Amino acid sequence: MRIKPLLLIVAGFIYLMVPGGCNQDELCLSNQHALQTGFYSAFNVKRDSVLKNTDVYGLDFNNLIYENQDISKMFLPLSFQDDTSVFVISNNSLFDTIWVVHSKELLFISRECGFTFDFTIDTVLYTKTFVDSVALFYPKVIYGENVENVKIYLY
Amino acid sequence: MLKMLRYIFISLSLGAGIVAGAQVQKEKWQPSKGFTLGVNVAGPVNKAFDKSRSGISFLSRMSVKDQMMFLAEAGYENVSFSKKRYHYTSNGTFLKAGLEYDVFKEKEAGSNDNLLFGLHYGYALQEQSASYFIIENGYWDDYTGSIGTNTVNTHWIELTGGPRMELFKNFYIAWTFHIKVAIYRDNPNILAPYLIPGFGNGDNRLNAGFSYTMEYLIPWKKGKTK
Repeated sequence: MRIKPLLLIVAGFIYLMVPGGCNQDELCLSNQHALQTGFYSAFNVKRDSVLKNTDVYGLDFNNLIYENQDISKMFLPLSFQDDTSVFVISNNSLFDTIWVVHSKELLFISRECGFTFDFTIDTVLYTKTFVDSVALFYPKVIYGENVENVKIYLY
Repeated sequence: MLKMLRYIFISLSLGAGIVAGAQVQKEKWQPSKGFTLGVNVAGPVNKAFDKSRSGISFLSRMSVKDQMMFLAEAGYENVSFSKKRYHYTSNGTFLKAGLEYDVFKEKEAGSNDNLLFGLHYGYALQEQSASYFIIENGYWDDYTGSIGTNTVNTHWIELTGGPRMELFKNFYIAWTFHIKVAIYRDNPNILAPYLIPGFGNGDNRLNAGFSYTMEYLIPWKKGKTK
């Protein structure tokens, strides 16, 4: 058998002309460092609860995470700089504060998405104005997971 | 997708060429034996399309038995780029070795062409670092940091296939399709390599690719008709 020279040269030409590798842009997820919480009634733990006209913000931080919204769940971004992230929930001039004590671990996601932190929640502390109790349900905040971490039971 | 189309096109073209060649009257021909010195142009081609990459590799094939060849390849590949999320640098070298089998058993007189299928072992050693990275928070302050230099060792197994032909006397060109499977990589959690020299995308355990080589044969036994 003999290979036709022209065909191999043409194959080489095609090789040179067509860029190698598939450059598929990977979808990078956002807000993956947020603690997921849900509101529940303290009197009927199976029933979701909604806080109306609610503001949520980080302590000593002017920006609002939620502004005058009716919310049944919250995504609370955790701080990269501090080991405790503190959030204030304001509802009809009543305030409750939640302290989320956490540790973090650097994670390299991929070459397209770069780095992020995964978190382990150690403790959740809270005031009891309209919050009855808080249960840490799943202590890991991990890139790519969509799990409710904390259940907040309301009066 | 482009890569796959390219492979299909090349395969069909060569397939047609091989069939056409098979119709020619054959004699019992024993092809030249020896060893080759060559270059894999994949590195320079990649550089032309991606300025962040630079590398080249050199190879040698040696006749072992009638249809069997030993291949050894060594090269380097460096990567350096700045993305929005991080800056990255990697310098590394690789070695490959393995056997290739020529399925052209009956060659026509004067032909030293081959259709080679091979099994290779590959090893890459690289040093990489991220001099800067940023993790955006969206609410609290962003985090910036760096990853110091760390060493990564990667081992892989490679299946290859493709035609090689003698374009001029003792001068060969070949293209090869590779399927590579990483069997071991250390330091996987610190920073997955953007690119593993000789292997490709560091995010994948399985990579496929092409190479195009040019080789010069130094014969120790010239081809002859039996």
